[in-house]
Amino acid sequence: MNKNEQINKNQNRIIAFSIFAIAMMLTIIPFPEFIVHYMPDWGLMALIFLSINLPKEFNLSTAFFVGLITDVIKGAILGQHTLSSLIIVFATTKYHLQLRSFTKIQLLANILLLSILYHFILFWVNGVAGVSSSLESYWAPIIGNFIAWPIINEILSKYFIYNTPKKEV
Amino acid sequence: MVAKKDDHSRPRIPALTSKFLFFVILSAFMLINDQRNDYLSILRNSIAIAIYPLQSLVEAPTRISNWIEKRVISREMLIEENKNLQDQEKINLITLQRYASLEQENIRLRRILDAADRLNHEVEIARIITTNSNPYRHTITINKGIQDGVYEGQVLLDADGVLGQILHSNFLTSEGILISDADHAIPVQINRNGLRTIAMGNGSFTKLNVPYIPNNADIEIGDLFVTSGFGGKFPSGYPVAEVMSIISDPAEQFLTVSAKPIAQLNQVRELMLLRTANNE
Repeated sequence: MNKNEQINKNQNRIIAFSIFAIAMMLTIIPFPEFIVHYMPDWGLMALIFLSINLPKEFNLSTAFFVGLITDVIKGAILGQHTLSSLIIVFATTKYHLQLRSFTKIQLLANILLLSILYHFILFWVNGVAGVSSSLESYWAPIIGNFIAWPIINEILSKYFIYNTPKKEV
Repeated sequence: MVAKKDDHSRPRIPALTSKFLFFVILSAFMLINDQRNDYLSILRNSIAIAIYPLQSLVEAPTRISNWIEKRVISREMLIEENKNLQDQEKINLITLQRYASLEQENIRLRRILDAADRLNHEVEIARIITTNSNPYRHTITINKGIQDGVYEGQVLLDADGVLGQILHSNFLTSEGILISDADHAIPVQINRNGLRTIAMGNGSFTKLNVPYIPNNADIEIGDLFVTSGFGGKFPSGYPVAEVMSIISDPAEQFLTVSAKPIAQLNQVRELMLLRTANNE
């Protein structure tokens, strides 16, 4: 690894850390009641973006910690958001090359499917543990994710220095 | 030619599947044990401490605006307010004198009845840091924790009535559940005639359900529910809710009663932690 790459890597680490900090802060902020259900899953969005674009640095262990912090912030059962983040990030990391090659619309469709899966797992864990929650709190964030992803993707793409390999001829 | 294992042409992530299995098993272990055992609370506590800076950062704008508001308020307004407060205090003092004598009398009578109820509970003021972003779960985070002697099950009050109780106490902060949470129930009795029942939250800040009142019970709109002291969590005599509507259906065994919480459940920022004698 040459010197430049090392610098890029460190820079990306700092950016990624601040992205996670901002995502967690957005999770903490109490939003007005009419919109609160529709808030996207900020932690999940950050995880998906980073695991697609920098899968070597940010994969399952990042997902584990971000999920755990989300559990504590939301007062959920420990392991609930952890498990669903892990499953999503496993998929995005494993297929990051395919996901990178997708067009924006295709990627958005995938994000939609992944957030449905994410909320299905949350729903399922709640059902098993006997925690009651309104139905709206499951489907509304999916709409939020769907609307927020293109914006998040555009903003975050600007701040990253990619180590993507140049095609050797 | 032998294909060289080139890191660049195909960036593989080493041991992805085994890592995945390891973490999934770890989180499944947490899921199973979080509700049954207590030892994961250490993990919860340490994460809560780690995110405390973020929480205070989120809360900072409100705190700064409050601070500015306090300093910008004009002198005349302060003088006016001071005068009003002084007047109010005189009135309060007069009322308090009566209460003091009544309390003395009450203590004397209780001694005669050999009841060990303490009337004066110690209270401690705490501030709400965040509320849960899921409106169906009515939980709040307050700025006092184990360090300040907060314990699980401690009662939360505001100036008007019962707010809820402590769910988890972390080291620096604690999580409280409000009486309006859908999973919360509180033993109450009607102040007027002592009829005992249970008031349940249903996810609405302005309404509690009181499902177990028989059809022929003596209950009127405007009756006050106070804590009954049964169940051992809430000390008796604190106002909880006021009867708002009673629907009687002869085909049903119970009345459909809804009550309006006395405490300002979704408006308070400061609250009081009640310290009962047996939990110190």
